Amino acid sequence: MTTERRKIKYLILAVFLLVLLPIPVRAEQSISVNDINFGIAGEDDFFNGYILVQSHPIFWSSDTGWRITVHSADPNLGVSDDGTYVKPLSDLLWKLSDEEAWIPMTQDPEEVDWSENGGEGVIYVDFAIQLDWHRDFPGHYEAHLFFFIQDL
Amino acid sequence: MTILRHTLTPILIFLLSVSIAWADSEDDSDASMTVPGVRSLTLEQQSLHFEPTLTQMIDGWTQQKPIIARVSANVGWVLTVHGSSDLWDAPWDKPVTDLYWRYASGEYAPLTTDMVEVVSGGPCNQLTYPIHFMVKLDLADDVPGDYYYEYIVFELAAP
Repeated sequence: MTTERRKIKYLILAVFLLVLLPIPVRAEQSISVNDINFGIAGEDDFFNGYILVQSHPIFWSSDTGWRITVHSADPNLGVSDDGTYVKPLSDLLWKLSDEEAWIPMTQDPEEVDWSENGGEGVIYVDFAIQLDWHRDFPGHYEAHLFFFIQDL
Repeated sequence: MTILRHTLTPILIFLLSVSIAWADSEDDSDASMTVPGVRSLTLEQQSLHFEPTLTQMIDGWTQQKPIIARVSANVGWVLTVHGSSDLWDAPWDKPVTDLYWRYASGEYAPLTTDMVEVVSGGPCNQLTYPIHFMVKLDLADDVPGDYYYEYIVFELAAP
């Protein structure tokens, strides 16, 4: 192969990389969520049947359409101090703050919100943990949650 | 050299494709709650009022009146009762022990300033426990007047 032909071949490859797979195609996305601290359950929470964290912010940015999902890495919320009770993951519920229906947390990703438009913003999510006098013995209960933002 | 070029090109394309797939972003968050031992006690009656008749004065006892204790707990509990003072606020030094109580169908016992167990239990939601009271009367001692006793104290505590 001559030097000229080699140059042309590299030039075509460079054009291919820069034009056919341009950088703007690459979606830049980010998501940020703080820990969800329900605190210490009290008498009123037990009488209500749940403990609530309202309007927990999820900050996102994306240069394309996006969807956010959530799922738990843990199969349950943990075990009571006396070891007799495993609190089910489904006792942790969530919903968009401006919606009504609560959704039980699972280990399968569930769509939280989406948009066809990029940009940046914040969505607010309510979280609740159900409480029952008969079942919820003393203990520290928690789940490790993952929030994903991805191309629509 | 040719082999290298032919290998490098698809690798470059593959890496760029992968970089697109890796554009997804994630964040993790711990959702946590601490549940302590919680015990709740409410009383359905905040006071008891007796109006003894002549017959009751002669018999020596007022009628019975209940206080309903409502208990909720996620742990074991014990309900106790005691009087907060030795004497009534009355025309004479009427003793606290003239106030009698019983739980359910148990025997009546004089109230004292010592804490006494009424009933105990485990996790429950709004279970009710009736505790009945009546006052011992004596025609010779219980001269006319207003008689007050403060307070009958109920406590819900760990066993």
